[in-house]
Amino acid sequence: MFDGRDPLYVQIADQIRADVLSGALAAEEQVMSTTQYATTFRINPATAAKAFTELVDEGVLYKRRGIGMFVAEGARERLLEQRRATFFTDVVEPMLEQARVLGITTDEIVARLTTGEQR
Amino acid sequence: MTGFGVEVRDLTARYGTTTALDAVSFTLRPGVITGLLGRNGSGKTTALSILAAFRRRTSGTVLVDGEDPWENERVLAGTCLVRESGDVANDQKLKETLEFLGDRRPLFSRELADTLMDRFELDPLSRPDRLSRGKRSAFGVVVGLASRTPLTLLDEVHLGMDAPSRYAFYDALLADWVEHPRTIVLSSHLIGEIERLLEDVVVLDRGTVLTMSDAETLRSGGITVTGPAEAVEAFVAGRDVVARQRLGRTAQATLVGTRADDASRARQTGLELGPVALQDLFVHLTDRPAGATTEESR
Amino acid sequence: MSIDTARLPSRSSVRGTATWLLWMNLYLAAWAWGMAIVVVTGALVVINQVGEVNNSVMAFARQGAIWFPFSVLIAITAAYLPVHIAAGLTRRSLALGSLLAAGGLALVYGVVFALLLVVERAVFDAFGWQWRIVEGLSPDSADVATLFVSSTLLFLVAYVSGLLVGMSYQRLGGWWGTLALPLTAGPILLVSALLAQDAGPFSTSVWFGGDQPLLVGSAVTLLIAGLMAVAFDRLTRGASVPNRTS
Repeated sequence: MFDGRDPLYVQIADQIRADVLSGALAAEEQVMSTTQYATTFRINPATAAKAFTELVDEGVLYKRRGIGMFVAEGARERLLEQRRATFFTDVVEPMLEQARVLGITTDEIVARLTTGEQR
Repeated sequence: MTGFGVEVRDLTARYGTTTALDAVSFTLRPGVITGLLGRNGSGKTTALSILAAFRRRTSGTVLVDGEDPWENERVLAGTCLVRESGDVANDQKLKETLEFLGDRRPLFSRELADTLMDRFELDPLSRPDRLSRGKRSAFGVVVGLASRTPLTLLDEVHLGMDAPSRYAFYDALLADWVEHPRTIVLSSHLIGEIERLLEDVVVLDRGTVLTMSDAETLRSGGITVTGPAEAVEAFVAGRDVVARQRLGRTAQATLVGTRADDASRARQTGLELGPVALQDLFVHLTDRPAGATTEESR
Repeated sequence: MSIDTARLPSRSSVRGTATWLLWMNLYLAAWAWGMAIVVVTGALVVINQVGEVNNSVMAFARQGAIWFPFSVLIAITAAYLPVHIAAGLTRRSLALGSLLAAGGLALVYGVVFALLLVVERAVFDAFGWQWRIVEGLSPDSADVATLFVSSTLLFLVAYVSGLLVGMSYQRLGGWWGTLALPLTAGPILLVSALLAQDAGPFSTSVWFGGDQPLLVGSAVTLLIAGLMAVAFDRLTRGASVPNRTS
């Protein structure tokens, strides 16, 4: 867990975003507190707090005073929108780059995508 | 609401003809968990001993919460240094030592002490001179955390503890820090396990400060590159390679310094980029002639 | 929280240190005096069997009352310094607290010693034995009040001496500490002589020709104790906590 190359707080934020996107965390659901996060994963609490601050700023989470952090209404939709916007630059283009290096043609990719969809 | 900050400027400490610290300057941010990293003999214990007024400095300025700690009743009451040797009465029951400290430390929490004694399986009726190294260290942790001092200095306390005790220590440290934020220094030459607990890092080497930054910045100063050996070599050509490992046709190189196009280049050549462990960077930093690295980091 | 955490220790750390050290020593004193009473009683019974009781036996306990706490204080001073500093206390409170404790201890030992002499004398009277103190253990003319004053002063010098030796070991290390031993134990002999008493195997009672006015002896004794106290204070305030791991 959290052994990627990005700063730790970015990885924590990404993890929560992924959970919101996949539906593992529903709207209005309470997320782990900074303390729980820090102690569960043995991470500096200030670092964990940075991730939560970022998510609150983005509107993914919101704070209920004295209770904790919750997933914001519409967070998933907003994240989906963002991800869709960056899907081609972040995922497809690197894939095409790889394909070029490996000599895989566009037809082969399309064929694979089509069978993938059918399965 | 956070605890004591520390400012050290041009601190020099000599024992006879040995210079343990040579014009060292660093700061500890209040309310932050900082790692004081350095090899054995790098001056960690001397620096911490001076902060806690265990010993005198030869020259330089040391300010703890804005004041010189030497014979300073207020600052000392708020400073706790736990060394691996454990500076507790050896022939007294642990219970008695906790009572002794409870009477003297303004913020001492007997409740936390008792919880930790349980967690480390320490018998309150036992005595330090009858404990194993690991249990003595664990008792040092109990003293250090339960004192809840605004400046808590833990000098290599976790090294003698076994894995379950170390994890219990990390958990207790984080949990209590969240409830009662304070300035904590963990000194060590083994970094792997404590790396993520740290917000800031100060690296000492041969009596001088090599690096001082937040852990994230230090860590992001390097990458590992993994993939087919030839591709890895091509990628790292002309760069500062700290370590190389090879398994069959796969190689991994650790680089210090990153470039903007690293990610795309790696993708094009089918290489994988990974994080650098602070431990590797630390070994790299402290493995060079002191002069060369010092210049570079300043 | 910083205002809260930065507050001073809630009570005087000098007084706290003195009280703690005193209690620790009194605990040992209870044992020491308990044993002294048992030994003295046993000795009286034996002497009474084999011959005639005509000397105070309790008077001999004074040597124990000098040297036992003296050696305990040497050990405690060396061992307690790291504990005190590590508990976030100043050297000042250690120095002053130790001196206060030594003073209090001397007073307690003086009172207990004088009381036991009184009790012993009453026992002697009850059995019809002659109660006197062997020559050299005190001036011939000594009454219990004089014995109390001179013993207490002697104890005081001995205990401050113990602190000084302990701290010398701590500061100077084994060799120099050992060399300092005669220097710091010397005042005990000197004061014994001033108060016209023997100090163990040394016939110090006759150094200054025997009987001195108690007032002169006391004044000089206090001066010596004061000088040693200043030396102890100086040594303590500059002491480092040694690193036991290296």
